[in-house]
Amino acid sequence: MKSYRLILKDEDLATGINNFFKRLLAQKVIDTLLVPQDTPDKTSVVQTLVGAGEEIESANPFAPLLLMNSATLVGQLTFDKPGKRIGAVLRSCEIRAAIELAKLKQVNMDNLVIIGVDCLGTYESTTYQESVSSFKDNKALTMDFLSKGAQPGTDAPGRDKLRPACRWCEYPCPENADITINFLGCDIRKEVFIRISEKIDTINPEDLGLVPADDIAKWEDASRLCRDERTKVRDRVFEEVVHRLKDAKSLVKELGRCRRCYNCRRACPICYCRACIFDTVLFEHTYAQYSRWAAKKGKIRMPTDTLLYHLTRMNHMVVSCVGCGQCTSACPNNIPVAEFFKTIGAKVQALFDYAPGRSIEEEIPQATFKEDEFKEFGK
Amino acid sequence: MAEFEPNIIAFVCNWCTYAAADLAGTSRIQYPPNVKIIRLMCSGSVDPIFVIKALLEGADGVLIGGCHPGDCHYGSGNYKARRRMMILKTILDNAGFEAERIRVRWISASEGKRFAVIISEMTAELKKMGPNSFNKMWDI
Repeated sequence: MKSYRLILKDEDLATGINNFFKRLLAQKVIDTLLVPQDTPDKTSVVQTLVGAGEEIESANPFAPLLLMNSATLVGQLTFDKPGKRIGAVLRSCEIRAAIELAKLKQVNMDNLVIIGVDCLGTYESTTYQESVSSFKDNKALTMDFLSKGAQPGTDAPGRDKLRPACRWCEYPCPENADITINFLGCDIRKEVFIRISEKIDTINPEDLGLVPADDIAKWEDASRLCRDERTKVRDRVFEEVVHRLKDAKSLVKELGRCRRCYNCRRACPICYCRACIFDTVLFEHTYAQYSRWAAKKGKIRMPTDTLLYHLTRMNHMVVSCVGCGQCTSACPNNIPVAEFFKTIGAKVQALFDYAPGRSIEEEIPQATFKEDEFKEFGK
Repeated sequence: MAEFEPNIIAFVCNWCTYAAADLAGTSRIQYPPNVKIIRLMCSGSVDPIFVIKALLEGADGVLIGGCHPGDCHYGSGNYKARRRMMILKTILDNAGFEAERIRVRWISASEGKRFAVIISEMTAELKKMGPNSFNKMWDI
């Protein structure tokens, strides 16, 4: 990656970044852009696909709000190989999920230009709405959030308000991106770093308003600090979850209030199946089956298969779980789904020294095998 | 009070382990009647959901039997089963289950005696472990 500085002269970060995206489109580095922008009333931020010829006015990739994991959207845009260069502004959890989806043939990486952004975390949407009402608008909230948290060792305002998954996310910086926007460690009133992959050789950085950066140490140091801090929190959470799930009764209790809305499955970027087995006839049980099960145990909870659903979903996707936490955010009953899936996911991934989203070259462990492995298993 | 008799569900492959069980029978080798054998064509066709369902229904032990690695009738079915069962056991172990109730064993068609020994050992160990608590759990 080649490093550059985006110097903010007489403009704030939001305007500076907005103009950078404008130049990317004008220079035809990309044909279209998937980018978070303010909603018309400026109190929320959503992903948008910028139309041909349209001028972007309110790009906001740093707002602490993530209503969904955009990897799913990247899949929707690239699935039928449109042959257009699509730019996608993504946080690290979204990039990692998109890479896993590419391995699952749901995202096509040809002509995809990933524009990664550093991320200090996000709020639940209800928390965000409460916060934004005390600021003027999205931009004011975002600048306040970044300026207090962009320097290492500082406390982002209301860090305790962050979504749990963000508090223990050990990936604040984007990897495997073609272009990155890195603000950690920078004075965001003055400049941010923009790094560009050697793969994009058609760009003239000057045309994009960039000057070469000799020294990105302040970003490297700040990101390492952030990563180390978050990793410690993550390890505490792992220990705590393992302790909580000490026997069968514990898991049943934790998942007991599940209402089978399947929101966790819908929110999960890795769950891409058009027809989940739980929506098929396999689970349309007959009265005869229900009454047999009820007779065996005395009574059965209705609907059946709640624990089976979570364990099966875990078995199907946990090896690719990127820990984005959208499942917990989507749960109407506040079940900490992400805690369980990320913790158990880490254990399964460790069996194969696998990290979801680390590299497109690494095959998903369940999709492959070696003849010469786990020789002691099954003896 | 009658002694606890464990219920073992065995998903076995047609070509090796099922043949071994058959050989145990024709050789008149005695082994505990606690096992219920379900024949599949290959250990690679054992969907982990079968194993989870068996445990949630109250099975005290689940055995997955297949050909020795390298000898799968279909080439690579048991390699896939190996990875799948490792992943499943890791998940269940960390989710509060007693993962020792799930056993994967490679048993070839000539190993009739070994099949009987494995069932006997498993039955004895499960008697000590006690019943699967899911046998009584209805709120799942």
